[in-house]
Amino acid sequence: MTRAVYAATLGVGIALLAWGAAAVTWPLERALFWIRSSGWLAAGLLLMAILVTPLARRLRSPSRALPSLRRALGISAAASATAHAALSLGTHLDGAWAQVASLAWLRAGALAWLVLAALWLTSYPGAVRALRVKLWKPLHRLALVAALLAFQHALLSPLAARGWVLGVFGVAAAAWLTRLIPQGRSSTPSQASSQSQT
Amino acid sequence: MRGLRLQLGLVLAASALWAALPHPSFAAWLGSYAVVWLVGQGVARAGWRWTLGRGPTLALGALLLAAPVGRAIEGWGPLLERERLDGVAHLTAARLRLERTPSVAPPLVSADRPQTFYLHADGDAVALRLGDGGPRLEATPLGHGLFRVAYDPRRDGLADPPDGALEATIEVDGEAHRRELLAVRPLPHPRALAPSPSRARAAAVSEETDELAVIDREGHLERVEVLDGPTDVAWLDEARVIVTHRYADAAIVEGDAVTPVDTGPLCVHVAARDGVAAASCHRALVVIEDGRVRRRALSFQPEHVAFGPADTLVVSSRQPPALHRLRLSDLEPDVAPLFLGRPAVTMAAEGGVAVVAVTDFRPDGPAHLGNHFVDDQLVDVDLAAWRPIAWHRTAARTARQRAPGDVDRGVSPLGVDLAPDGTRWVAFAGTDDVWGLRDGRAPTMIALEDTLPTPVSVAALSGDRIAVASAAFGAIAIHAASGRPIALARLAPDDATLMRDDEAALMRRVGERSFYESTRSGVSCQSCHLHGGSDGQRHNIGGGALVATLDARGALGTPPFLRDGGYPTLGSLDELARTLYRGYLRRQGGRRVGLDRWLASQPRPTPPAQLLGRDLARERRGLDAFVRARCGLCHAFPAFTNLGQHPAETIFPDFAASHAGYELDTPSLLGLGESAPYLVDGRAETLAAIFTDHDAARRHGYVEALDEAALADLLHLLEGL
Repeated sequence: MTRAVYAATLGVGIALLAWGAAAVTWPLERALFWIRSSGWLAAGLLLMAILVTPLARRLRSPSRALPSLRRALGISAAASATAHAALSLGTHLDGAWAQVASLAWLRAGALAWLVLAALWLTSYPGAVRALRVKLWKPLHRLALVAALLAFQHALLSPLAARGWVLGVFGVAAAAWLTRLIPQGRSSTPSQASSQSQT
Repeated sequence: MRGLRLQLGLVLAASALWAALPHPSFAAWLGSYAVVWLVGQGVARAGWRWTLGRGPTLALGALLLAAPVGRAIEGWGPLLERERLDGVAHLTAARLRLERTPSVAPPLVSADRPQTFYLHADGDAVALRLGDGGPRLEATPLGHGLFRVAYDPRRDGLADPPDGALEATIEVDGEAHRRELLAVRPLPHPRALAPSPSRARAAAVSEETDELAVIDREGHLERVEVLDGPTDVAWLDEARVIVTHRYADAAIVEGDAVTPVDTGPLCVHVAARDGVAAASCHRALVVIEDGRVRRRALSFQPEHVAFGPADTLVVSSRQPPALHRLRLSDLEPDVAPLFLGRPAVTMAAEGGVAVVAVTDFRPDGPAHLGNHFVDDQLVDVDLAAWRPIAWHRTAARTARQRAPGDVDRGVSPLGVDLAPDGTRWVAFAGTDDVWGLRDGRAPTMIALEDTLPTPVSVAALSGDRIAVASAAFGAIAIHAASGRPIALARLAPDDATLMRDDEAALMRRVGERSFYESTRSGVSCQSCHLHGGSDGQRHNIGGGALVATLDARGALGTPPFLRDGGYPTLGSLDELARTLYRGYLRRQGGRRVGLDRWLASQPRPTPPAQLLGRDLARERRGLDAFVRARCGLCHAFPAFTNLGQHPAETIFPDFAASHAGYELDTPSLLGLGESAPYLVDGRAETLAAIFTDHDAARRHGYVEALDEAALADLLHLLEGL
């Protein structure tokens, strides 16, 4: 069921994007459309993956579905980032590999992708067993580093709207920081009734 | 908890490893983390467990932390620079200012000239109010959410306040939006001095304050208000002068009477002889004789002008960097241009010889292509034979030299006057000195650093006296030919007064002086950015690429700077002077801030179309073409730049093939019409050539979407921005 919803969402999303891309007549701009869409998608999914746990805690709605949701979002983010990188290098950047290392915003994007790729690879129990990965948790905490690098990438890239970059990453940072706010202990119904009797 | 402790341990160990090989980059730290994680992975696989008590853990943590903290402090600057985070707040603020509609560009309101503002707004009726008590200016819709405001302080009134931070209001369909701009009211700037026929007096104009200043041998100063933007002055006879204006007709001034002459605006230099005046105007030469005006269109933009022998005129141009000789009778060239290699910085002619100051002399080919090559010279041109007869380097060294190769005198000759006794007087703005040169005699050198720095012109007066003008300091000095100071006439307040009353103006003065001041290498900012503009040439910058000189004006609000966007703030350009050019001879507190403030206060030149008339219908068609060709993807409204930096490969693969790794800063298109040559290396001589000859990969806009007429309309729009 979850997989079906996921696949349907993915299909509708891609169809909408294709419809948007079809409206762009200049091939170079069409390529940019796909690059920007995949980039925003990757950033959005990554931020959602990072925020799932703190938000669920804050909303006091622990669910057994959370780990799988987080995993699905993370894998989708890595896949989107891979598509974003491949599209960029194949079209707009036209294979300018040297620039990836020399320009700060491209380097940040490449590093973010490397981190996400490592996380993606270690997101499958079979792969973790085969690679005998013991310290996967410290590795997966690098998702935060990937998000920071993605922020640098988006902020310095020439075509991203700064207002949106600051808005999206700012809201995500604020939401993530809520985990630092101590949660008050809630009283159970039985405690409440005993308090009212005394 | 144990997981977090492990995480902290890995981070600490990675940081310690990075501290051992401290490359200032995030990639290096991440690489260290990967190594440490792999080691930890090996340890975990081996099943080793290592448990420490709280005390030893803290001690080990502190030990591990010490080195990376030290390294991080040490390498913080380089790290920020490498990751392009050193000016990120400044850059992001500038981008947000442009993206936040309604928005306005440029963000500078200058009180001394007409200006064009572009507004990007989602509405039908848009107006711009320059401060609560300032003028309200209706905007003309151009289409696609772009509006234009033509502002003329003389007609519309000054902004409120006229100097300092300005709270402007953009009204969109009746709704007010506050936006912060910068208002600047410049101080008087007397520039080129013209001696009267008898040399009893000299005159200069201040373009910034619309006034003519006439000074006599004793230093008595008369100031006369003239028309808008006086650019140059020449004496018709002992009583009358002709003043050219950038934003108004030329005018004949006699006493306080100012009589306009129908020359049109945009005249920048003038010379006169026996009551006849010749002015270089917008792509034309204009001769004024007995109140009659003759005008001849030219294929180049004329600049300095002088009378030659046998009823000829000599005119200089930046593009090509050459002298042209024209017959006075029909203003036709009577000989081929004389190429100099670099354009004339100033020129004076007398007795059949013109003395031309240049930053390099190469009569038989392009300028020398040495890295940052500047070689100030005075070239004597025999105007009848039409050939250079002598050339002398001026940059010299004195006992103040600190290191081999330093020069500290004779840099940036900006003013030349040929005295009747054969002495040629030269004002050197870069090194604060004036020289009197005469064949067979040792030169007279008058040091002005303590009295009137940044001299931009000199005029020999009768009675062995000279007048020297400094634009930056707003003053004209009278000296004996021996150098003895006689009088100093100020048009602008002195430093002490500014320190007390107008600190912002003082900082701008500090910056202006620094811009003209020579570094120890003999190069100043002004060497290539003539008077803050551009010499229109291509220079070898860093031995990597020929780069067309950018106009340094109108830079406020468009970070980062330079062609590759390598400098986050205007003041950070000071680093070039301190490092590459070996610094300045003179200590100056606040030089960096001063440079930033002065450059920020320099408006772009007023577009000629604003003064000569616009074809609004064609401009609207041009804007349609601009949008259809998707130019706005990078040259976004309203500044016509999104302030982004692109790998060269993404736009000009041909260029990138020979300039690998080059990053291109998206330039603003405002003022484009007057900023040829185009593209980073100046390879496009015309705007049309950008699209027709230098976009083989068709990545610089969707030009295929435009037919010939639409492309012509687009070019018309761009020329008038």
